[in-house]
Amino acid sequence: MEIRILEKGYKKNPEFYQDFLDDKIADKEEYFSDETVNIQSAPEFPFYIAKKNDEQRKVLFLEAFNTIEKYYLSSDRDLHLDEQFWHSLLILKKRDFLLETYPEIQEGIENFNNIVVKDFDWENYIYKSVLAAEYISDLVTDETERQRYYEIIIDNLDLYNYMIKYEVFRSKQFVFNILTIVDELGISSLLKKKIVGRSDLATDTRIGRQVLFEFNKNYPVIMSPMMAKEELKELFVEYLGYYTSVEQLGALV
Amino acid sequence: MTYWNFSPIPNIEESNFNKILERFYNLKISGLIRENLQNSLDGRLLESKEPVKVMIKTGMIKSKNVPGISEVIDRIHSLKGRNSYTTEAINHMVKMAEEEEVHYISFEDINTRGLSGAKNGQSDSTKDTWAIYAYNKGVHSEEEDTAVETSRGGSHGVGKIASNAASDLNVMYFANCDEFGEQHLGGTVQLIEHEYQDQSYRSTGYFAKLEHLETGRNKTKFYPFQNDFNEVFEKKTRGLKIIIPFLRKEYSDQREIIRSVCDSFFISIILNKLEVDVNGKLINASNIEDFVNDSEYYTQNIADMKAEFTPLYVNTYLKEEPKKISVSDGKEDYNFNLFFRYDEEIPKGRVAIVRTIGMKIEDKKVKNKANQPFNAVLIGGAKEDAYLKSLENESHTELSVDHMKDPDLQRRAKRFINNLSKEITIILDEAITDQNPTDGKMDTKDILYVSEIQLKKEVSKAMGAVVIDKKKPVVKVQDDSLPPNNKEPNKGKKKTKTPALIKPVKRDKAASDENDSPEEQTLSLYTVHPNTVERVVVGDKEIVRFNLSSNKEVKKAATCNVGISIIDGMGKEYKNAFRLEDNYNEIYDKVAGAKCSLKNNKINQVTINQGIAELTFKLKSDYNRALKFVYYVEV
Repeated sequence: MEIRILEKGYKKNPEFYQDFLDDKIADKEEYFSDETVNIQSAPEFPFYIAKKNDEQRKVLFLEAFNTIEKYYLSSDRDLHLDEQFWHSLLILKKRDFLLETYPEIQEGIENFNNIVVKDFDWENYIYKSVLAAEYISDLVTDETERQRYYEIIIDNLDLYNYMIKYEVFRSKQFVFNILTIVDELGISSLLKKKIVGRSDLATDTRIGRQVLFEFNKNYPVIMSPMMAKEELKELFVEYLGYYTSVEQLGALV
Repeated sequence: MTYWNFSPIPNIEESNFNKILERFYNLKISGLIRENLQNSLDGRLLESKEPVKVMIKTGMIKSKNVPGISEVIDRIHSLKGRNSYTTEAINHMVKMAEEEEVHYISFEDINTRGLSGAKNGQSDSTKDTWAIYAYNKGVHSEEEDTAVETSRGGSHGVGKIASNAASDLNVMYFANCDEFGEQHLGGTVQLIEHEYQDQSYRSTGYFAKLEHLETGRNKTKFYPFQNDFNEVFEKKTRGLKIIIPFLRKEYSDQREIIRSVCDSFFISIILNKLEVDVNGKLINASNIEDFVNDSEYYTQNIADMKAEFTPLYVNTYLKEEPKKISVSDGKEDYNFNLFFRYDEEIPKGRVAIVRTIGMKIEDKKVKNKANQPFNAVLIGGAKEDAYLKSLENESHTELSVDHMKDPDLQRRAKRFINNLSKEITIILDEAITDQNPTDGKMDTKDILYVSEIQLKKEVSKAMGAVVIDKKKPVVKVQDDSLPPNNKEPNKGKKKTKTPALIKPVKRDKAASDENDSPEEQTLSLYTVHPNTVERVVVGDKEIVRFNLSSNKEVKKAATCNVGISIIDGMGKEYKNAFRLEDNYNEIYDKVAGAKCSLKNNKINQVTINQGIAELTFKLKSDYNRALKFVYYVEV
């Protein structure tokens, strides 16, 4: 399948949005750059996952991870981590799917910006899914184990988001190690708890994020992304201790 | 009795022959063969599995046996050339009309439907294909079944004119026998607009009976003649027979006819969709190879195949496994089977573009690859066929965009044609790589030597920046911690300023500084560049020495307040996230030799001596030694 790559400047453009609704994008040369991309196949998956209950969300994320793993990861990394590629694919090849799956796109350009031409960063569901599929499939060969890790990610999305938000943690080994530690300690829900009674911290601080923030503050003096899991686990528990009681966990470590 | 009818017109406007005649005339035999065989394939009996059979016959006929020809000749005598070209053409016609015995060629098809509704004459019903074929030029009747419609060969509706062009008198006849066995004869002649017996007439004449309709005196309608003419004009089995009398001399070359059949229809014949009999020589699926491998028809030396490629195509198609390729026009993808053969002996690389009906459209040259040693046959499905059909020129001999009026379609078509070349290039490149292994199998000593020199050159050029990908160069960043003198001189470019080591900053009113007392608000705040701070952590002590001498304002001051912010792994600063009292037991001002007090999470009144300030911190047991700081001074 050949995909023409959009020329930059399409985002937040009301005219572009209207042309998308009217199915006129492909006819307007001015929207396109000279670049094209050829890919074998580009099946649909949930491109946008929000406002769903936990169960639905899990199903959708799993579908996204598995589809990306199967059909997209084989392409050049520069491609499946490229914003313009994904936006071009959605706009040019997935219009019908998008309009059917996310009818709210037609309600206003805000929804369009948020669902279709969303910035390709940690808040973007495709971005999240591509990294998840890439990290896990690189490190886990066993199929059942891989599915289990996908589920761990989904169960710890808050932590996962925080990790892929920061370049220093956006490393497959680190993400994998942290997820493994969280899973081993069984502290998924503990990490999601809000920290109360600490006026010095920002609002809506959660234990998991704060532990990661400790790692962040100490980098690069402590090169946490390069640590082995057991080493990392010790530090993790230490930092966790700043915010909650770890005595019971201590027995487990 | 009148055999030929021309429509009367008030006056002559156009004094040239139909331009399409000239175009087909230039295509010679192959144009004639293509049009007629393709029409026969289009007319195949849909329910029959038998191949369409076309009998091509050439011979001589007495001109008096050509139906109604004397009327045509009369008209020819009345033609007046208004320019040298038409004059010459008319003179030629006049001369040829005198012949008593003339060449003819006929194409008779079998296992075809023939035309229907002949007895309705000129009719408006789309089902009466006779009326459309016989009396309307430039339109073709559309099949009711769209699948059949897209697979049809013709589409421009000018096919009949190819037959007129083959005749010295621009005359052609068609004998039809329909499913009920009704036999009729029609015909057309292409002259120019002319005056005949004080009346102006159109250029096209129809071999038909003109009948006045009872409803209106001036309304007339054409009806065909029952076919009881000379045997050359007979068609007794269902199907159509085209007869071209006064055949131009060069059109009776039997060898050329056979070659044209093979050139354009080898796929139809191999697939057993078509059999052609040329004066008793049958070409069908089982013997087409005998024809293409016969040096009477084709040169058999591969190295000499520079203009005709049919033997190569037949071979490629029969011997190679098809590869699937997908070609996009920017909006839609089209899937084709590509039969591809790589052979060093082949002098010119061509791709036969073939419609599903089996007719070759073009010997396509791939951009920049016309002299590469390969041969290929490209065939798509119904969707691809429809698209290819829209891209063909009127003579079905080339994919082109020139006849497209819609600029958007034209743009997409260009894109499609380019992408097609691109796809084939990829396959060709793969084949070349396969056939020409780059290492392991040849002596590479020389190459290694050359490469080494080349590498050195490349490396020296590439110093400074490394490009991984055309989009994303990895640029070597200049290290701003070096003294300015050591940096590369910027020749004529804008000067890089030495970064100020002590920089004034605005107070952040919104954040923590709001707690500052009014007198503090009047103080100036500076950040301190890491290069001017020395920091060491030993045991439970941390010593920090500031060199503030580079800033005059700060240097002048006797004391300063020191603030500390932490920096995370991303270089992001968190003001006030670091609480002094939580991390330090004691802070000691070394220059003054006294303990410092804290105020608003800042160290108060630190002494500056000749721009130097030095602090010693006594650390709490849980102090995080891995933290990174930015220091602020207030004077």
